[in-house]
Amino acid sequence: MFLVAFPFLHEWPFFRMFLSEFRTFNATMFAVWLLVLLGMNLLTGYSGQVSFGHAALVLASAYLTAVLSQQYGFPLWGAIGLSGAATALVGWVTIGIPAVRLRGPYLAIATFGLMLAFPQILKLNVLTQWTQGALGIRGGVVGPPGFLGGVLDGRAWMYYVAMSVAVAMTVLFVNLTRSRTGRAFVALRDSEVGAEQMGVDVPRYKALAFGVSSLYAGIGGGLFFAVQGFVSPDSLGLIDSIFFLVAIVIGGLGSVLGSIVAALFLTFQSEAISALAGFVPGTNNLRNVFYGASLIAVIVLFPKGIAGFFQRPLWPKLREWNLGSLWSSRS
Amino acid sequence: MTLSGKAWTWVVAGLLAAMFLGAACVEGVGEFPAPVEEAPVPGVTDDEVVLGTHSSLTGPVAVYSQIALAINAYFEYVNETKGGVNGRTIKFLIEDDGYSPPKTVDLVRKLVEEDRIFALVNGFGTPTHLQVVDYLQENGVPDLFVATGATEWVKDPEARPMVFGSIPNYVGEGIILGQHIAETYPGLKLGLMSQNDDFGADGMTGIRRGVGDALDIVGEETHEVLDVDLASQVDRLHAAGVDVIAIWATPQHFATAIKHARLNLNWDVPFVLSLVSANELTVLLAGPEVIEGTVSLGYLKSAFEIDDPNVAKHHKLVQDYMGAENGNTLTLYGQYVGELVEETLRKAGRDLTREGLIEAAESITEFWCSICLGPVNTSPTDHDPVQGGFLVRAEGGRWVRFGDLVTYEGVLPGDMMVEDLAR
Repeated sequence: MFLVAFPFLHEWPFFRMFLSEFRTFNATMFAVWLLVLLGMNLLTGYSGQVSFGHAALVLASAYLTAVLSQQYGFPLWGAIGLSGAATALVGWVTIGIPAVRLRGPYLAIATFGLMLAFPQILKLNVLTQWTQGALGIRGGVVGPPGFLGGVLDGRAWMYYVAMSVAVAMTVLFVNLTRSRTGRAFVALRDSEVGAEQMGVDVPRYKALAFGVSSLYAGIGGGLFFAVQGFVSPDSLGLIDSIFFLVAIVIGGLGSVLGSIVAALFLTFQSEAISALAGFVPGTNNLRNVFYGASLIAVIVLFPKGIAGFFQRPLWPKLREWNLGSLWSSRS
Repeated sequence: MTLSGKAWTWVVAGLLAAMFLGAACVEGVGEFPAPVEEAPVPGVTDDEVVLGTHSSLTGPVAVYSQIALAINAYFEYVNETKGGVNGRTIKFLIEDDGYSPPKTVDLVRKLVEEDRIFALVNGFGTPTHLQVVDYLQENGVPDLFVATGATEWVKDPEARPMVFGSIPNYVGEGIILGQHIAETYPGLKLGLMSQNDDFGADGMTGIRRGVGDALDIVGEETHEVLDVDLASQVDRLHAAGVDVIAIWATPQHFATAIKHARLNLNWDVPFVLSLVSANELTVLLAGPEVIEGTVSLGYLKSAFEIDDPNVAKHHKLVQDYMGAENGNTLTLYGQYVGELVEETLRKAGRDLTREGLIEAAESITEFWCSICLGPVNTSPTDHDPVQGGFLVRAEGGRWVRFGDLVTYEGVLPGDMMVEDLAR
C-alpha cells in the first residue's frame, strides 16, 4: 500500500517547504551508490576480501552501457542489464579467479593496480573510436515511456527506475546473505581454514563473491551512466574507490543497513562537509581536518559502523535510560 | 553474521524512508500550485543576483581554490565600494567538489535547482566540468568563463551557446609557444611532454601547429595526473638527444621534470611550458635557479609588478577581502574573472535575463580589465575572451615579459581543431 502511494506523496505541500526538485536527483544517486556499495559490502564485509578496484568496475560498466546504447543502438535498459552481466563475468573470471591466490593486502594491491590502469586504457588511441578518448561519452536525456509521459518527467522516471532496481536487488541481497552461499561467504571471512574444514569450496566461493560483487557494481555503473548522462575516463577514480571503502566501513561492514547508511554518506558527504565547515567561519582551509576528524569520531564511537549502533546492545541501553520519563517529568 | 529479524526491519524501514523522501520531492507533476511564488528569473531579485561555482577547496588540486576565493573577494569589494552592479549586489556560492566529477554533478545540480543560481561562473577543472557542461546547456544556465583552457568549451559556440572560456585556450597557447620554438630553435630536435588527457592533447596540438616543420619531433612522452614524478620521461627524451622540450603539465609535475633534468642529469635543455605551470608554486617547488630561462605565456600582469598601481591595488584587495597575505598568479586570475563578470553583468543591464546575459557575454569588445595585458573580445562565434599574450622568460624566480603582444585573435577555436581532426 505504501509503495503504491509513493507517486502521490510529493503533492503534500508540507514537503515542498524543505525539499526541492534537486533532492529527487539526490535520491536517484543514492540508489546508484547503494547498488555499488552492496556489492562492495558483499566482498569486504561478508567474504572478507578488500578491493580498491571497484570504481574501475563501475566505470567499465558505465562505459559499456554508453558504447552499447549510444553507438550500437541498444535500448538503454537492455544495455545496462548486459553491461551488468558482462561486468559480473569479467569480475568473476578475470579478477575473482586469479584473486583466489591473493589474500588481504595482496588482493588490495592487485585491485589498486586495476584502478590505476583502467582510466589510462580508456584513453588509448586505438580505442578512441568507441571511447571518444578523454572527452568521454554523452548520453541523451532519458524520458519516461509514452504512457507515463504526462505523469512523470525524466527526472522522476529515472528516480523510479533506479530506486526499483535498488530495492529489488537489496531484497535479493538479503536473501543471498541468508542462504547457504551467504553463510559460506561469512565462514570464509572468519577463517578460511575453518571454512574449508566445514566443507566450503574456498576458491570457488571466493571467486563467486567477486562475481556477485561485480554484478552489483556493474548494474550500478550502467545506472550511473543513465543518471549522469555522461561518462569520461576521469568520472571515477582511485579516490572514489577509496571513498567506497571508507563509506562501507563507516556505514557498517557485513550489514545491509550498513550499505544503506554508506550510500547516504556517499550521497551527502560533500554537502555535509560544506555545512560542517560553515559552522565555524573562516575555516575553509580546514575542511579536510573536519572531514578527517569526523571519520575518526565515527570509527571510535561506532566501531561496527553506524549500522552497528542500531543493531548492537547500545540501542536497548538507550531505552533503559528511559528518556521518555525525562520528557514527561518536564511537563 | 546474518541479519536478525530486527535488523531486517531496519533495512526495510531505511529503504522505505529513502524512497519516501525521494518520492516526496518529485516536483513539477502535481496539481497543487507551488506555495512559494517563484521569481521570474532564477537568482535575481531587486537588490541581489546569485551566482555560483564549483571549485576544488579540498582534494588533489586544492591549491586552485584561491581562484574562487579571489573571485568572491572581488565581488565583495564591488558590493562594498560600488554597491554591486546595476543596483544589485552579487552573492557568490562556492561548492567544493574535491575534483571528483560525480560530486560536481551533485553540487552543480544543487546550485541550479535548490539554490537557484542565475549563472554558473568559472567552474573549475576539465574532468569535473565535462560532467556538467551539457546539463547546464540543456537547462539554459549560463556557464560563464570556465576555469580551464580546454578547446572543448569554445570550439563550437553554436552547439554549446551557454559556455564561455576565460584563459587562452590550450591550442591557441600552444600555437604561440610553438611559433616561438620554431623561430628560436629552427632545425633542432624537439621533445614533447604532456599530461595524458585533453589538457595535454590540446596543448600538443597547438605546439605541433606552431612549430610546423621547423623542428624534428623526436620524442613524445605522456604522464598521468597520479604519477609521482616525470624523471623517466625526461630520461627517455635525454636519451633521444632532444634539444628543446615543450611541456604541458601541472606545476608539481613540471617541477619534478626540470629538477631531474637540471640537478640529476646536469642537462641544460631549454623548457617551454604551459602558463598553467608558470606560477609561484613552480618557483617554490623547483627553486628560482632551476627554472631560470624557461619560457611561457602571460596574459595578465604579474604579482611581482608592485609598482603598477593596479597590481598594488590587487594585493590590497586580497588582503582586505580574502585575508591573504599577498596576491599571486591565481588570485590575479580570480580578479580578472571577477572584473569580466562585473562587465558582463553591467552590459546585461538592469533587466536581467539569462538570454540577456549570454548576449552581453557575446558582445564584449575591447574590454581591458585593470590587470589585463591585452583586450578582451567576444562575439557569437567567439566564446574565447583572451586570445593571446606576451612571451615570458624566467629571471630570478619571476617570469618577465619580452617581445610584443602576440595574438591568435581571429583564428577561431573551431578552425584550430580542423587540422587536428584531419590528421
